[in-house]
Amino acid sequence: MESDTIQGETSYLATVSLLSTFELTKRYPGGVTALDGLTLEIEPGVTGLVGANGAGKSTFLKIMLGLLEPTSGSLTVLGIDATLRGPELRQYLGYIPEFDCLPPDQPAADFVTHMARVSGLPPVAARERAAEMLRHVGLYDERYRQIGGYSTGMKQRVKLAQALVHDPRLLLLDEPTNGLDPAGRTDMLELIRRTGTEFGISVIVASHLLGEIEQVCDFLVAIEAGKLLRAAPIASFTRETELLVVEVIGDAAAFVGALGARGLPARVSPDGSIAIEIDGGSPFDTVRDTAAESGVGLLRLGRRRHRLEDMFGAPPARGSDGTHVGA
Amino acid sequence: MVRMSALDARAGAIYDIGYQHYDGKRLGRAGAVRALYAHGLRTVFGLGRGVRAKIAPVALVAFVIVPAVIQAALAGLLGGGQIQLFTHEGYFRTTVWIFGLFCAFQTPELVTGDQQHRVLALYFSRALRRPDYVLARVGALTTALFIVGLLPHIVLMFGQYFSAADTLKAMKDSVPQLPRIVAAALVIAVLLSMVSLAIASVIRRRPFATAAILGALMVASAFVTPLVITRPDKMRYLVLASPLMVGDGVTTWIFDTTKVRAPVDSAFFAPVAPPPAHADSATMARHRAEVRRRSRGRERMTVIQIANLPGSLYLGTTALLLIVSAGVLTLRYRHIET
Repeated sequence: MESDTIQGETSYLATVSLLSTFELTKRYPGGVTALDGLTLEIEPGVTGLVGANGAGKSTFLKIMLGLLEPTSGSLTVLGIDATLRGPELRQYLGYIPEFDCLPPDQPAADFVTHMARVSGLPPVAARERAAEMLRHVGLYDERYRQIGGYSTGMKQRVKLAQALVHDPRLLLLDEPTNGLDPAGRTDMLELIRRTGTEFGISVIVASHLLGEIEQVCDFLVAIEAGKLLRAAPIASFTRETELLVVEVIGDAAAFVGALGARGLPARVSPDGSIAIEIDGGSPFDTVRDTAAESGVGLLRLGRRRHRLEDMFGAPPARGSDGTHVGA
Repeated sequence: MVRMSALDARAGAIYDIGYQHYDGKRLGRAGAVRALYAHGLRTVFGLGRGVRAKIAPVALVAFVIVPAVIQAALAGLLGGGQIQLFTHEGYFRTTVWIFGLFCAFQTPELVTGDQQHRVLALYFSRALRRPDYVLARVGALTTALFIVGLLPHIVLMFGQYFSAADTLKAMKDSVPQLPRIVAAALVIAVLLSMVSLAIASVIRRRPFATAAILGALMVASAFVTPLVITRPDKMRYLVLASPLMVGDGVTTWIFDTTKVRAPVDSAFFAPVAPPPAHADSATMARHRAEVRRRSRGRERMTVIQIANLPGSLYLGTTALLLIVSAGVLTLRYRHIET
């Protein structure tokens, strides 16, 4: 996918701003530029922040939290300047780091209560909400057990509970499905979806797994090498990404050329199949006729949603982790 | 808050009543720091943790208090004024090594786990700033040491009051001691907590943090003491290398400014001139008597007296240790990766 659509679409976003950045730049002392003049707005809802590992997602989240100071540029979250009024802002933010961050020698109920209090909740409210949140994430019966004895999936749910216990306006998640088995991933994604819809809390979820993100997000922000690649509602991604996939026996290159002559942009994928961009309309007849004229045999003809990676120019899916939206 | 209608309750099932928003008070940064401080204070004593976490703090607190209880009990049994195992000043000196152990075992509980398990990432993304975390941790350990430091002295005092023939007079007599006890307990608490936390903050693993604090507090004083005692003329400044001895020096000074210095002139600490090569037996006897006199003299003195340094030097060293520790803590937590 070309990058010519990138610039225009940020203005598409609604005027209600959950987060807005202007020329946000972060350079690490070693000379690495993690964010490079990032200007964007994110509106309330569930937003996916996608990009390859090292694209600057974690850095961006940490700057939102005021954990890192930007080298230059500005960032406003929930209408509050993140660098100037960090503690005040963080009362209304929940955060799940991508790594383990739980003390093993405390029961989940105690820990989540403690985190509620460190977020500014009074003692009684902290205790009540901790129990409630552990129920929401499905750990109510296990809440008095020490966290050290929990499975990875349970720990991930404790992390979610501590991030939601103070009823934040915005939840920030960094690779929330890391290290989870398929069932755990499904559960986690469902919890994230419920947080956005039922709980009415805005979510920004950073991930390199586009297929997962697509299941739960209303919006996508793609960054690469610290630069904004694209920001748009997920619907616009999927609408544009409809493909017709054709497999043929015969001279594929000539077939593609013939399709081009009929006004159907097509290209040969690495796996040998031919992908045809569908821009509305129904080109099935045209494809059939062209195949007959070119003397190639049609093996397969079907619609497919574009892999999001293709649009971002990222390398194609490496295989069988089952998380990519595909044919 | 779980609310159920009568119908739901009768059905006896757990209903998902949906997510409830929180509309109550938010206490902000002050509330967050208070919570972290209170949690730290509990952690130092192993409260809210398993039984194993309570062994060390409970044992050490018992070690600190038991001698005072024994003295109070003996005084009660045998009548006031008869028994005085410890003065307040002496009690600080005798028990200060227990505070060293307490710091070595409990300081890592307070800060090392937060680094090792990366809980700091969660704290720093809460309603506080990084220096607030340091302040809450220093406050927690200092408070703990201060409480443990005061407890035996309260026991000692009540032992005196109740065993004295004239309780009121005993109370009145003890009043001048009170500010000294509080001041000494406070200095030791602040000094040891700052030094221990500064050391623990830069070490990633718990056993190493404990070992480093043991080294800085216990081993240092174990090395320094014999050196100072045997060669006070040359080695006396070494007392300043041990935070425990510095604390001892300040405590001594607080209780009696004159006791910081030796009760003899400095010539006393110089090596005794060797007898001439062919000395007669009377000269030899005088020489041996002089050596014995000096060694007995030293036995009656504290290490602080033998070092014979001015009180201002202990106060200055304390200030220096506090400044360095505060610097280490500030820089460490400003730059720590979360």
